Amino acid sequence: MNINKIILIFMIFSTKLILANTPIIKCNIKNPHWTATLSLDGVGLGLLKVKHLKSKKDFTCPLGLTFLQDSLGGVSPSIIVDFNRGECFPKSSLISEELFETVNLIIELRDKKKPRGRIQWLKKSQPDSCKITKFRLTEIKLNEKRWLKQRLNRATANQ
Amino acid sequence: MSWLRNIVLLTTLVFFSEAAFSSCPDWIKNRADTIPLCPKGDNTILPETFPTSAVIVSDGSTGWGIDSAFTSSFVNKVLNASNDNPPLMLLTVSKGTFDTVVRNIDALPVDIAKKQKWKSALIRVPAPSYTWQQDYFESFFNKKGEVVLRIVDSYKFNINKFDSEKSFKEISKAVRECGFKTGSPLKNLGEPKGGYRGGNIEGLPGGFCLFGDDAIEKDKHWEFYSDQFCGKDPENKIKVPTSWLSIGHTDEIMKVIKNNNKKEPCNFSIAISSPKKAIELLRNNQEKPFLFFPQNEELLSTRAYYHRGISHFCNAALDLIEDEVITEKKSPNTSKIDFKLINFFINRAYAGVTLSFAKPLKELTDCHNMTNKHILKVLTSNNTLLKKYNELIQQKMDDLKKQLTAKLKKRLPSCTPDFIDVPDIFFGGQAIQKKDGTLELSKRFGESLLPNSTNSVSVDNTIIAPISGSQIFEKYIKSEYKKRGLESDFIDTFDYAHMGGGNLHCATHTLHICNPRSPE
Repeated sequence: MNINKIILIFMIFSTKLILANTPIIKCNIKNPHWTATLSLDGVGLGLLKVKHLKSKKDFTCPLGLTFLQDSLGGVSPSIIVDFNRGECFPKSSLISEELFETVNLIIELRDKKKPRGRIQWLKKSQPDSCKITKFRLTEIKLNEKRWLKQRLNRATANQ
Repeated sequence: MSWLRNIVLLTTLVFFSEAAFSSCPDWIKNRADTIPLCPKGDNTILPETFPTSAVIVSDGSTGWGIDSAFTSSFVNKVLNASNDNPPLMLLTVSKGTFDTVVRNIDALPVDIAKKQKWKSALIRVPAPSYTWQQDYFESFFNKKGEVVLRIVDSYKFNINKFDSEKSFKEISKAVRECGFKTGSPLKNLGEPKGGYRGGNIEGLPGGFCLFGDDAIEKDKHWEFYSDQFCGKDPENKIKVPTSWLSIGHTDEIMKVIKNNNKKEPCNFSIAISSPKKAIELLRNNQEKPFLFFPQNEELLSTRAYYHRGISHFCNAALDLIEDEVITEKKSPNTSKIDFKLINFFINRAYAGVTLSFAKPLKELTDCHNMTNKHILKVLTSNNTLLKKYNELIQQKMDDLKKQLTAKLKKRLPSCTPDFIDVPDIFFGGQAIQKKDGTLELSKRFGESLLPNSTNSVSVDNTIIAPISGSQIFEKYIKSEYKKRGLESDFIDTFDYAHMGGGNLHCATHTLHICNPRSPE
């Protein structure tokens, strides 16, 4: 094996690693009280970053992916992402009481160049549209397949 | 001269498989006396209780590519329901599917003359296969009693490369021989929204039009759009609450059907989604399996695993099972830490055992084993948000019934509106707390858990509905239709349409016909 091949393999491997940890979906939410960013990375981890505008307090929480569905052939072409808030109970923030158990994101894809997000997350405020700032469709599709497989393997293993 | 014989044979084959239809069926062309008179007033959309003159269906399944079996089965059901007066069957399908449809009609146990008549109703429309035939245009009628097709101007997706204009053009061309016209496009103000589509526009006897409020935030946008088909009188319009649904169309929660036990003008019933009815049926049949697909039993576990809603309910049921085990295991002296430990270790081992369900429900791969009792528990437990959510939907549906009753009573005072509560369970959305403390449905997240029975197709005296996936729901629906002098037939739509958020009505299009009134 020559050195070029080794470099190539190393580059592919490192690119994969970098891509796995970079968001494949990212959306920004603004409402009168909060600014927030919700993201999903290449290994299926969700992240919620919230900043309370009045108190300037902020927090970051990991969210568990509970469902990822590509519904491109659906009545309304879309990507559906469901998260579980899991252990996301920030002590210092009022938002803890206002977060739903599940956080749902629907990305409407009338036009794949202009995806539009809508989010359901706060108990007292909805609907919230969210601005999609990162959207990698090919990787979302790959991730969907991988995630479904992992979920199946996990369930079978637990049995 | 064998080459000549081959050419003749080939030409004959092509003729019969591609263009079996040669002229408009007599009953449509000659406007049979049995066709009712057009409704009075200036509303231009007919209720689906009027005779079905044409049916459009494709073969493009939402998830699995071309599905000839679905199309062929649906065509057979329509023809069977229409008996001697078949509607035009416009098939936006591949050559292979068209041939399958013809072949399967040939194999039906009916006489040759009928087969020929049925086959002559088939037209293969040269348009791409596409699941959602309901939404990119809508059909209306004019004063002359002509069927008028109008394209939904805003229906343009660049994601799935569907050319709605081309498909509409080809469909319009195919029905021209029956005298059907093409009207002006339905234009919208502001941004294109899902609410502007065909499935959100329906007719109701009494000259009413039903138009959902989905995602059309500004009243003037809703008014502008509905003005184009409801007529000048604002009293013609009924705003259907659909904005809580993810797709947001009227046909997801209601359907107007015939009622053969009543006389004109009261010979109709309104089927409306009802979580309350679903709970009632589940409560009375707790030990039975929840999911039931008799014709596709081998797909049961796959469907249960991959469907978002079923997975959602299954997760909730698993959580409840864990909670119950905890309650049983927890002694009065158990500390908080012990409690957590039990939750983590012991419950896993006992999950699914203590509740004495027929088959174990331990993991997501067991979701197909859910019984009605599991679903009932999820829908009635205070620990799940689904209870409140479905209660709020029921309230919405009850308000809709009141609104419809008031409107109908005013125009048709001799009629007592007849409603059918169609069992339906919803998920996806949440109950949002308003400033005054009351709850409201979140916008644009609701979905039907099972194929929704209101999303069906009427042909003569038969309702062709999606196989609901619940044996008890289907049995109940069948009996309700029978009470009203209607037959029912069911078709498996789970993979073809339900997985894509729509159903049979969304995936098809029926054109209805009326005879013109003489000038008064």
